[in-house]
Amino acid sequence: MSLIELNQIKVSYGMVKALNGIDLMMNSGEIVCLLGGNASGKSTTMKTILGLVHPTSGAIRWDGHEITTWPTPRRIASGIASVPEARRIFGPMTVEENLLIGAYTCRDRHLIRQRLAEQYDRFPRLAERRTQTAGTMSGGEQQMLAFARALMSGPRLICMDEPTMGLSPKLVDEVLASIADLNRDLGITILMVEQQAELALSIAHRGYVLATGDMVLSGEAAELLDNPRVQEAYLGRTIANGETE
Amino acid sequence: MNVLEITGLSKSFSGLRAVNGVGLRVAEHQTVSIIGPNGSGKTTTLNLVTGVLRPDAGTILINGHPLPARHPEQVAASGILRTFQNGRVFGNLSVNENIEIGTHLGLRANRPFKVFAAHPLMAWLPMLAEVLLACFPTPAARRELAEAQERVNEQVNRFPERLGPRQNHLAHTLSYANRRRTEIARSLVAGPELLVLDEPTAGMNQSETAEMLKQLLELKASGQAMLLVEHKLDLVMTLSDWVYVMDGGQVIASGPPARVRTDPAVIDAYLGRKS
Amino acid sequence: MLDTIISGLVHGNVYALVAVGISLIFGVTNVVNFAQGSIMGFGAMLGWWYIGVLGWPWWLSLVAVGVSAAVIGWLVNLTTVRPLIKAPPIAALLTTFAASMVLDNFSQMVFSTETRAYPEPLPTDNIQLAGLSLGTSDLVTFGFTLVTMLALGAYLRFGRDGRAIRASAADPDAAQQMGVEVRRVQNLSFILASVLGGIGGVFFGMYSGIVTPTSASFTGTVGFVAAALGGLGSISGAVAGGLLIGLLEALGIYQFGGGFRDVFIFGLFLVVLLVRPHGLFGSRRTVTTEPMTGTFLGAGRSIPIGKWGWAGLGASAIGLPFVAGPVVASAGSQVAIYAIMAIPMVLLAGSVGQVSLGQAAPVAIGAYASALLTTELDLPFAMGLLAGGAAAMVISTLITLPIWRLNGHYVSMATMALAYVVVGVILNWEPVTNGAYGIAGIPAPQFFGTVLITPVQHYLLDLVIVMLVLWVVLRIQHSHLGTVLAGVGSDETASRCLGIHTRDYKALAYAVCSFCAGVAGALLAHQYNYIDPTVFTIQMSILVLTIVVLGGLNSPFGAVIGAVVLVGLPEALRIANDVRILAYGVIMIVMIRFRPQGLWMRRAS
Repeated sequence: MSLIELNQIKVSYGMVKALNGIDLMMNSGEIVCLLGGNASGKSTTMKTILGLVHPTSGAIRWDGHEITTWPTPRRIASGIASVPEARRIFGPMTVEENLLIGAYTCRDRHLIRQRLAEQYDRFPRLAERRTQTAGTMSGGEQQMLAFARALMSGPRLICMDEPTMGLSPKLVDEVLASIADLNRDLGITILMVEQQAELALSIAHRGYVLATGDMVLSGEAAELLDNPRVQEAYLGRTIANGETE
Repeated sequence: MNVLEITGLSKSFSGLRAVNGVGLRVAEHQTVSIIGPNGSGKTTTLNLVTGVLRPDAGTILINGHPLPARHPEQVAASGILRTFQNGRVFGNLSVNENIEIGTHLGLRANRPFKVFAAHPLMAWLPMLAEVLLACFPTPAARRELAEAQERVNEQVNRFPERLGPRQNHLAHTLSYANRRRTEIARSLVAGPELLVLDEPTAGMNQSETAEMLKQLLELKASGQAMLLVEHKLDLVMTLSDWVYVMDGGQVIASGPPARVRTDPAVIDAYLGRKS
Repeated sequence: MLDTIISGLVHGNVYALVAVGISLIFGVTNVVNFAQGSIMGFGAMLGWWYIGVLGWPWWLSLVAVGVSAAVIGWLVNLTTVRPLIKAPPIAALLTTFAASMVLDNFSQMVFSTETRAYPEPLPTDNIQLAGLSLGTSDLVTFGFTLVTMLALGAYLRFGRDGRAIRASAADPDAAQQMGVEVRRVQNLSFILASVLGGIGGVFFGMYSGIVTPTSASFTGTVGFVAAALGGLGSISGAVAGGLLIGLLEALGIYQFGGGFRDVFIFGLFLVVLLVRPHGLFGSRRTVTTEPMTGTFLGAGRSIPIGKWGWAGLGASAIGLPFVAGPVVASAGSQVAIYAIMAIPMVLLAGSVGQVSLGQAAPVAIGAYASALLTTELDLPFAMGLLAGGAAAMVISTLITLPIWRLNGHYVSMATMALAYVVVGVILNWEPVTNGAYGIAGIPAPQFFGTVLITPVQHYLLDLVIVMLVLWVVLRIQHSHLGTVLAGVGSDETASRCLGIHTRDYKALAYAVCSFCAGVAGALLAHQYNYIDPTVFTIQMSILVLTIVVLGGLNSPFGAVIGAVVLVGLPEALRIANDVRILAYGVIMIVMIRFRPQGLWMRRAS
């Protein structure tokens, strides 16, 4: 059975249609990559899954439940976590406080303490810096913190919005490797939005391609890498799709 | 002759050394790039150069001279114009008006007594003169504005298919890429000695990046000196005459692109094993 | 002396309570909640009602005031701040300010403007200690503040929701993605702040012994001074700022007498804003990173009128008094004078995106300058008019000069403080201004020996000046200067990096507004023949602002329409004053929420 399933999801912002009825499905333990040009609806899809945006029609099934109308906190408590675009750690707060906010939806103190210990085990660098103000850490450490913060809610699915955005080539490699690790070691399902198609597909199992709110293509990662239409859609070469205002 | 020469530049934020003893040079007609991992101090360096931030230590020479006061206005007046990481256009103004603001620096007839603009009390004089000229423009002022408008059109024609049809659109309705183009046109219309670009292709897809590279190569061919921060390595390597690599607030390597690319320290800190 | 210090500290406690609320809300929503002072005022009056009228015990009354204030705070957030959370902060600044007007006037209607003796539920003078006299009431005030501040600090540091408050302050979007219900957190901060404010109001009543709705709410305004002194967003800074203001106020009154209180407090406030805007304990970053631009409030273009439209409007405006008679003409004069104040505000509030909450200051300066010059020095009217404008421009702009490197609520608070200081100086500078007695016998307007006496003549004179101001402002708007001003309002850093001295241009927009306000003040003085400080109230400042918001922040002609609707209609319909102000507040909130571009504007396409 699939872990999460989006069925004919439509979203609009006022008069502007962002998604015109898309389908998306993920199995437990997969890494799925969401590709597409500017304003193709990638981020909206993510936000819909997180409950930050509500669809005008269509349904979301998560783990056998219909969650279309669930608010964000309930979704997070049930195992969906987010690594927001550009990391967005809480700069003025300490590393540990950042992690605790990650576990905001969890009320079991014992469990929170246990998860905290797990993160410090997994990322010893964060343990060293637990009382440091998060904003003063390097870019790589902040990315690490963003992952650890997402793990604090005990997720089965993590949505990552452009996790490699604005990172140096070396860090991009490291981040992709650690995404693959999370998936392999913890069995966490990962949905990621990426601009850098080749890199993202190199660690993903499957991928979807969006163009101006429609799902135009989907398939195995290796297939997609070879598909000329991926190049076209991702590069936004068609005038009609690329430069709409 | 160096358009820009900085030595020993340092800046700390609440104890954290963001930029630590950085030195770099941009010669006339040269394109110089800064690359480096996130948080290595690249954008902070640009902000220090353009006066948006004040350095704790270090000298910045523009055309061989230090600036008396390092406010962004004075830096701009001395010929250094910049763009921003996320495309800061004036959202409530049209593309045309955005670029028109770039001509402000060069206006004379419309801005009498502008030498007094920097003095807090004397600034009354140029300000009141501008109000009077707005109400009763002299023939010279009219002529100058017409000329400025021509230069605005020239800049729009740099991106004829992109900005041409959108000259009168409000800038907040523009796509991300068009904002960057408007920003560059706005800086160029001021006739900068040095154009400072902060990640000019961030958020652009590959075809847009290629287009931007073409534009920048044309600018370079026209002799425009440029200083840019950028992550896209292909672009940096194709465009630059000289590359500085920063890590932890310091310059760890510099040289022509080919040499920097194979520098072990650069591979270790920035490029990673794959390159 | 020691008595003075103790009483200062007790006052300071109350200020601290209000200031902490302001800082808390600012931290979470990046909005300076101007309604905070009014919530305190309301709390004070409710306390009087619970203890004095209903006869409840003091502790129960405190709880009841806390609960009532919580509800009010929640409502303020619901109606004014939350709907605008995605809008530029200038929008919420205006609506919280409007909310404070609504609350103040509602309070006046419910409790009436009568001065009430505050009941003494606790002895105020029963403890003698080393020559000092203290009361249980003072100790309760001290104790309450101490305990709540410690509890609040611990809560923010270690509590689950406290942490969520800080996370939401740092990055609301990211907090939401972690499952924090940001809306709930914002509600929580408003409720906490309002409870503190409301209870602070009761304490204010207890030590001052008498209250009116306005006196209590004014004391709440001093809370802003405390919050700014401590540094907006800093909780401990707010406490320290409150105590410090209390002390300085007490010492100041001890030294100079009570009449100077406003001048002293708001003068101090101005000095702090000008010299150290991030406060004594705040971090500089909160000042420089604050993204306060007026870009999208009133984004849109004025509806064009056309040559024939202008001609028709002009002709009917001129013809109006001859058809409708002198009563309408004097109402028309009022409209015109307010239009003169409001039209140039499109350059300040519209183009450069800065809100002046104190236009009464330059109006007062212009009125007094012209009145004094024509009565004492026998200057002709025309000279007085121009001198009034010039004096208003020079004095207001010079005092506020350093503030123009800042933005948003710093500018708003500074201009508001200026209004208090100017009126305070006029009240106290008796040898020149004649203090509270005002100036009588100001000559009627006259040109070359022709004296304008009738309402129709006054109206026509005002109309000519309205047209002149309209013309100048439209010229500026459509010139290169206008484009530059709009650029400054849209993105200040980007403007500076293009070589634009943004501070000068913001000051210029304010100077133009002040000049016009000064001229309007002079007209007012010569047409009334008499002025005193009570003419130049905060209500006048509010009205000017509401007019531009109603008409459209970018539309000079909209300001005229705004003046007709807000000044002309109530005058014609003879609507009572308190109802008017209540209505102004409601109109401002509704407009900003549902038609931010104003009446006479088209939405940007």
